[in-house]
Amino acid sequence: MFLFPKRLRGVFSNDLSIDLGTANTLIYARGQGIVLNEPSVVAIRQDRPGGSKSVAAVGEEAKMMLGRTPGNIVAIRPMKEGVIADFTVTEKMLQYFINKVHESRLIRPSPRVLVCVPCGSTQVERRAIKESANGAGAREVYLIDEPMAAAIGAGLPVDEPRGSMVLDIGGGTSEVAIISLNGIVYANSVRIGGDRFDEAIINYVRRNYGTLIGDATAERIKHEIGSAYPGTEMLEIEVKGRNLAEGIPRSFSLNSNEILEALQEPLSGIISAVKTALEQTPPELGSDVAERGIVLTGGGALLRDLDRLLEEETGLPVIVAEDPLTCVARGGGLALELMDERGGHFLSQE
Amino acid sequence: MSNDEHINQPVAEGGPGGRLKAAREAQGLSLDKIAEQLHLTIPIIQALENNDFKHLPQAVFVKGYVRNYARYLGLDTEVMMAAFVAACPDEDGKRPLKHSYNVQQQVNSGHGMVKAVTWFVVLGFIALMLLFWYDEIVQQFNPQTTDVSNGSSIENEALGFNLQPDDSGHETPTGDDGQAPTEMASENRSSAVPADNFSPLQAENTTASEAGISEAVVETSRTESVAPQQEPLASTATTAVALRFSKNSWIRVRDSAGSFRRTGLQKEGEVLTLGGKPPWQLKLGNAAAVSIEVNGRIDTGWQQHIDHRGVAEFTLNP
Repeated sequence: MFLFPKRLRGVFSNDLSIDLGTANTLIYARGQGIVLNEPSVVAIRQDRPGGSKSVAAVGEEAKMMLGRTPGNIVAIRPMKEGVIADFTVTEKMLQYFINKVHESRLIRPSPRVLVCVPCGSTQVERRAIKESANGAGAREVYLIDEPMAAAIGAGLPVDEPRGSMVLDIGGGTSEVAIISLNGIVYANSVRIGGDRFDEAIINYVRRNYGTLIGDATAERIKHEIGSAYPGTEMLEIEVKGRNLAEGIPRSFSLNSNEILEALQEPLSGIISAVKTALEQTPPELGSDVAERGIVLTGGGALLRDLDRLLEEETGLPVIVAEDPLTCVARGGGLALELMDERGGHFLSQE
Repeated sequence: MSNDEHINQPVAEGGPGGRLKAAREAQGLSLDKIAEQLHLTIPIIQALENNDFKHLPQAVFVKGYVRNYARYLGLDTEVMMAAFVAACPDEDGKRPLKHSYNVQQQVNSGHGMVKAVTWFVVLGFIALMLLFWYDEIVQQFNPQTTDVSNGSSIENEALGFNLQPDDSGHETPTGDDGQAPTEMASENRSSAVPADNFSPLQAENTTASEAGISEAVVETSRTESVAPQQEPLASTATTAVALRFSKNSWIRVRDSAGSFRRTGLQKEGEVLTLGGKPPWQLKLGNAAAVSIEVNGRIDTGWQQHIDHRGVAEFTLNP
């Protein structure tokens, strides 16, 4: 492997925008689009107690191992609620992803990297993300607030003197922001996201069926029959879990109304965050938002009828962005391009 | 107007908006009702139904409105979206963002031109390295054939009878032995003579013409000191010295005036005729393979100078 300085190696690398999410990590390469979309999961192998640890799998492969590992392997999700929970593992994961994107290259990549961070993260958390990207081989690291990236990625007119409201529901956090003239007027981040939905489903099933289900099953239930607003059709799903009283795996069926009930608590948290944001918004911008509506991005936007729930609760039009899962990464990529042309005014300070 | 007719039409004459309007009317819904349900204003609904994109906000919003409207009416949202994207005149959400102030465009490392230039520089650097390496190898091998390796560069210059002081001045530093000072002296002397100094007659003329001028004492004495040296030069016209090589041999030859020099490898079978002014300083690498002929006769007197390495260094004054 050549040991050129980072700057020279950078010539052979692409600029990357990374959406380092709690559930999924997405990488957008400049001029290529989304090049990676994998779960933020790392499997670590440690064969002897006190022995050296090694990475067994990263991404999709590691996610399959979640909850199914033997004693010598631990599958970890190194990000919690939008920020780094395990620094070293995050660095390893980023390194793996950056190398994977540059797989065919002879020279070790050293790209410029833009990482999206939750707007509610502290300075320490931002510093940790920056250092871990540096450690993973990035030449320069820029940070951007997630709602800003989401708004750019969704195609909102962030540069106009008009209020645009974006609600990004990720795996760990939900961010709501009002943007005007390339800047954030108001932003709030609540630590409720896809993970909290899964958790709520697990708790509901345990409480009402006396049965324990795993994270992966809860996620499948959410994807298949989860809904945020009572719809006309009732969906059903057959799931298996361990009955707590008998200690034996049992099969039972759940319907979408039950899941709607289970999700009430996290959903009300998101709704109150949106309402607070609308209260805090200056009146001119508030009227812009009322005229055109709220844009939903992030994986949470895919929850069935979430837009209708928000419409009913706020009385404003609510729109789901196209391809909401990749909005943040795409927006980061666009910001990176704009940064070269016009300076880094989108970027957040550390 | 039946409901099915309009829903199944791909794009009616009213465009995608026309289909929405037709479906709404078929279901007997008023604009007010739709505006209330979708939380939009009536002008926006009307603009949607009339495909009036000028009065609608950005594509991201329009797509969202169409999706919500189609869903409310029970139409296929994907088909309606596709119809609107096709009808939408300018954008599909990729409108370039404006900026409120101008910042000079920076060229970054991802720029194609920068990449090309960097590749060019790197390849050029590698090519130079290879060239340098090749030169080194060639230099190492050639002197070894004659067992004389004093590290001097290979120069094959036959300057002939060039007596320009400037030229000889430039070449002096390239000579690498301790004889430079004497060379310099002789060069100075010869360069003091402004005219061609190979004809003794002319030199005598100069002497004669200058003798009468009392101010030019110094110059006269210099010219006189040159005059005796020119006689052997005249004699070289009749002395032909040739070096025959029966094998490859590295040589260095220099005449007393510094005007004739030859350094480098002579190939087997070559004949080198010495020019310039005797005596010559010779250094022969593979001396046993060299025979010297003076006026056609083989001279062997120099062979006593051959040392144990087979190298002969001597002054030849036939």
